[in-house]
Amino acid sequence: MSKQFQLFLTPSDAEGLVEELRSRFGARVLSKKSPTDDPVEMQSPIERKSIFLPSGVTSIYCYLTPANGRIITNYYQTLGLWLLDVESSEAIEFSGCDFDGKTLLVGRFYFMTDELVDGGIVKKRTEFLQWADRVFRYTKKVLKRDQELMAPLGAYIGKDALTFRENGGRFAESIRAAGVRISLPVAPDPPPPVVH
Amino acid sequence: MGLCWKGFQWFCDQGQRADNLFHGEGFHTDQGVEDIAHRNNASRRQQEVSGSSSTQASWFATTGMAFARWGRLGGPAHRDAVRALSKYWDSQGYKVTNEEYIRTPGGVKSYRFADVYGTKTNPDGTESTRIGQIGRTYADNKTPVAREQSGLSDIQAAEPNASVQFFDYQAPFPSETGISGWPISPEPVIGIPGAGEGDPEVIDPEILP
Repeated sequence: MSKQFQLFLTPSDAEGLVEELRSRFGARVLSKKSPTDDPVEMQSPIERKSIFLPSGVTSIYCYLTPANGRIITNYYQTLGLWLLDVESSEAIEFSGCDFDGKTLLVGRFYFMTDELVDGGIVKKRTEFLQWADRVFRYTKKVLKRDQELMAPLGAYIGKDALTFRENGGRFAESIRAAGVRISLPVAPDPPPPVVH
Repeated sequence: MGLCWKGFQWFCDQGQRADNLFHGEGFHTDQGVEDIAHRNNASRRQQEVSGSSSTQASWFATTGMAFARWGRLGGPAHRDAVRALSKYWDSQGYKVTNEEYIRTPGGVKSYRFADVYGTKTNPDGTESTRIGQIGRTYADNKTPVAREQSGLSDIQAAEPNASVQFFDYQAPFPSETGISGWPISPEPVIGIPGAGEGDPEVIDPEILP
């Protein structure tokens, strides 16, 4: 199973929240990608790129892990990179919240409570699950809940994001709603290697 | 037993027991070995329905009720397929998330969770969105079951420019990233009678704040 909730955070909200999670829960912020099998620790969760094309836009795609969390990375030949495996790792995925100053896209906190091991589903360590639950509880507490956003589930909003909305900023619940031009994949993917 | 002559049953049973012991089946007659195998299979099937004994066992298993409680990520086979597809799209440079919440107003349900959701920026600056739904098919091995069809329709309607694909987790995907034969249907089959009337999806209670 998994747990998740949706949130709207501006870059300053996200940076503030992550600082709090670092100091209160010893959270590490890891990048999805790494040139080695050691995950790269990020100073800030904010990436200077986004689905929004204009310059100055930001996005979030990182993992929050406890100090002693087990991290699994896999090598991808086609990318020449190691990617963090969210299913097997003891990590909370923190993603979305693309922001261009006019529109703020929904983001989320997400983690899996169990993993697939040798064909069976096994619960992750209790220490991690308790840590992740504490992080979820704290994060929800410091954000403001809005039941109408992402209905019927509701979403949580940061202080700066609230101000942004009050000043006419737009919240987008999907990429499409954000007005991003979506097209079908340019070329079909190459056929995968078949291993017998 | 059927091969034993009348009156020699006891001797025959002992012979079978000795033979089965020699072949690692324990000191049992052929019938006994079959009974044990049957019981083990039944128990395994029940575990598959109710979850592995270590994590998902519930009293439903002991009552024999077929009540799946895996959550949205599904049982091991479904989960394995989700993982394979996620890794494959990862390797293609997509930004991949699982169980992505999609609002589907006007659909059979008002929201859905996409099993695998990938986005990638194209060279022309547009965004490609790829959604993979993983489930079962009817006996023809290509038509998604009704509940899957309804999910596919809802998602495609909510994301008309996305490439929504269906993958059968019971179809073979021969290596971790090799998903030969997938998807079984390049585009969802929309509007088939019965869509949306299937068994209800299990919703994780954890999603509710």
